[in-house]
Amino acid sequence: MNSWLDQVRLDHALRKLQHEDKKAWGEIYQLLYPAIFRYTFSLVKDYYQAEDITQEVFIRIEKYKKRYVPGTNVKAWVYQMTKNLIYTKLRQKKELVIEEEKLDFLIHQEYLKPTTDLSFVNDALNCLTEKEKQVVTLHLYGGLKHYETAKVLHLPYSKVRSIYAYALTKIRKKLGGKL
Amino acid sequence: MNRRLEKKLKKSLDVYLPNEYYKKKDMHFVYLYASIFTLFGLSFFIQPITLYFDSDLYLPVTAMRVDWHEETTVDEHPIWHEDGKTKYQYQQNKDTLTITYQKENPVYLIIQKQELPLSQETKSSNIGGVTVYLAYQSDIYQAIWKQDEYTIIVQMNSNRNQFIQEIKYIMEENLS
Repeated sequence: MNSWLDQVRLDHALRKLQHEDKKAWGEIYQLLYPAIFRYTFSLVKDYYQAEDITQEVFIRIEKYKKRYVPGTNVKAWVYQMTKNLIYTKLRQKKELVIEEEKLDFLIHQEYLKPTTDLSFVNDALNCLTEKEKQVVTLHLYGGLKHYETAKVLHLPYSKVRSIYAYALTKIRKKLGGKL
Repeated sequence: MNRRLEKKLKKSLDVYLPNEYYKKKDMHFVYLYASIFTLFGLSFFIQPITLYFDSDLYLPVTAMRVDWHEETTVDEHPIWHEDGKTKYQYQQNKDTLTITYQKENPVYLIIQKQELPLSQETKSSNIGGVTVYLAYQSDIYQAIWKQDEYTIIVQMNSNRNQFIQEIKYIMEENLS
């Protein structure tokens, strides 16, 4: 995936969208949907809720498209919106911590690929602080570069890198046996 | 080290995306079509059996035996043969061999060289690939068929299924 090229394509598509060119949705959807869905799913751990939130992100893009400043970082803008939406939803439902029973239920869902191991993800993310979790999920599941994550979280780039490295060390220590 | 952990974390959350998920093949239809195809294939190997029972064809064994008794000399001492629980009685006359035995009900098996007078219009049944003429009268089932130059007559007082099974048994044993 070429991040710079994606950035240019997204910026171009959003400019077209601002001029009410609905055809731009195809490109926006193709470039953003998989990463936003995976990022959302990694945090909410509920397939259908992740789907709803991802849809709502696109509704918000349509609603607030005029607020986007052309030439700025599209991904940072979209993920900022996604992050806020996820935490609003989770706060509303008080589901910041996923229950073990729910996880067992999810493991048997047919949308999980044979390689999926939600318990591993759950264990890995639960040992992190909220900020570390944000940095890790935005990078790994949202596909953001560290400088993009820094923009979304309003943190210095070097800080994001050190948080990420520290988070991975924590996960490795916690799940050393499973690696 | 970090690369391996990142790879593992990414792979651990490998789910079908909603748009991929709806495209995912529904295996139920594959199983359904496979079952229909298999049954269709098997249907070529299944030969439907239609049995015609004609009461006019019925030949009372006792009467026949009396007729033969008059025409030929009956063995004074019939041969007995035991096979497990079943006891067979062989009675050899000039052109007729009568085998009588009892499993659940008595079975009369007559093998004779002469032709049976059956008209062309008589409806036949197919049992095990052999053309068999069936008759039914007063709870007695009768089957007649040709084997080589012999005519085989089986009479049995039983139910229909037992009777058909017995005919198949006799055919498989090849009357040896």
